[in-house]
Amino acid sequence: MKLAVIFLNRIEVLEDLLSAFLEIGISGATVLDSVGMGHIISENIPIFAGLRNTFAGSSPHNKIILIITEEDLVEHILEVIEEVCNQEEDQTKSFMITLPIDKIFKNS
Amino acid sequence: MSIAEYLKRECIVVNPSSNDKDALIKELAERLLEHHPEVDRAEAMEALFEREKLMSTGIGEGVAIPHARIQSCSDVSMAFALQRKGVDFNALDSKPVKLVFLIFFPKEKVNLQLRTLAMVSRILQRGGLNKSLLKAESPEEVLDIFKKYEEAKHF
Repeated sequence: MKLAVIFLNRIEVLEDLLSAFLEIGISGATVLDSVGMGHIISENIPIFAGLRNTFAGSSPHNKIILIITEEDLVEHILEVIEEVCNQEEDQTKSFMITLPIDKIFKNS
Repeated sequence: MSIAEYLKRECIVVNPSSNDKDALIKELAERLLEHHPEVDRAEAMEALFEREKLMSTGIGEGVAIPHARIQSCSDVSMAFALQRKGVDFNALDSKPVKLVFLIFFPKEKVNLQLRTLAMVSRILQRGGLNKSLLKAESPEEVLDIFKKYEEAKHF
């Protein structure tokens, strides 16, 4: 089992992405609201205000999608992200990492 | 990364002649430009004052860090001024500024800018160091204070 962590910078494609996940057999995911460090420091820490223009092109808010999945689905997830996020045109470059899962504890 | 690595004795001014914010920024920038002829003067001055328009770099506790990202700059360049009289810098806490760090950054090296500003603002907001700096009488003394402080690894 793997934990796939997707950092989605184009939040407008979230619904399309989740629909596409359903199609490849991913029936559950957790979606978290998140904010990039660049946005926080340039808006909230005065000495870094000069970097606002640097981060102006990026969305102030993004999403983190957590998926527990069988290992053989990881490549499919990646293909879906590539297709739905249109990575070639996406300047913010959404990305994914995967981590091994040792155990899952669940309330019965 | 350390202040002593980038700050040269020739770019330290103790008791500068300027008594207001703009003049002090100009004086310190001119000092830095003297020792960095590769940096375009007009670009540097414009970038420094554009940054100040956005928000004062007076970060509080008598410290200001005017800075700019400059195309013609190839590495971090620093100058430091100790103005005991204090200058109105429109600082965030409205206190007069006595310690001024002026920094040029290469335009494309955003990460270097982030690291340097974080380091300088962290170090200069330590009360103990500032008290020592305010007693310094010469550029050599200022540099020694930074070196000793950084050698003690206060982080």
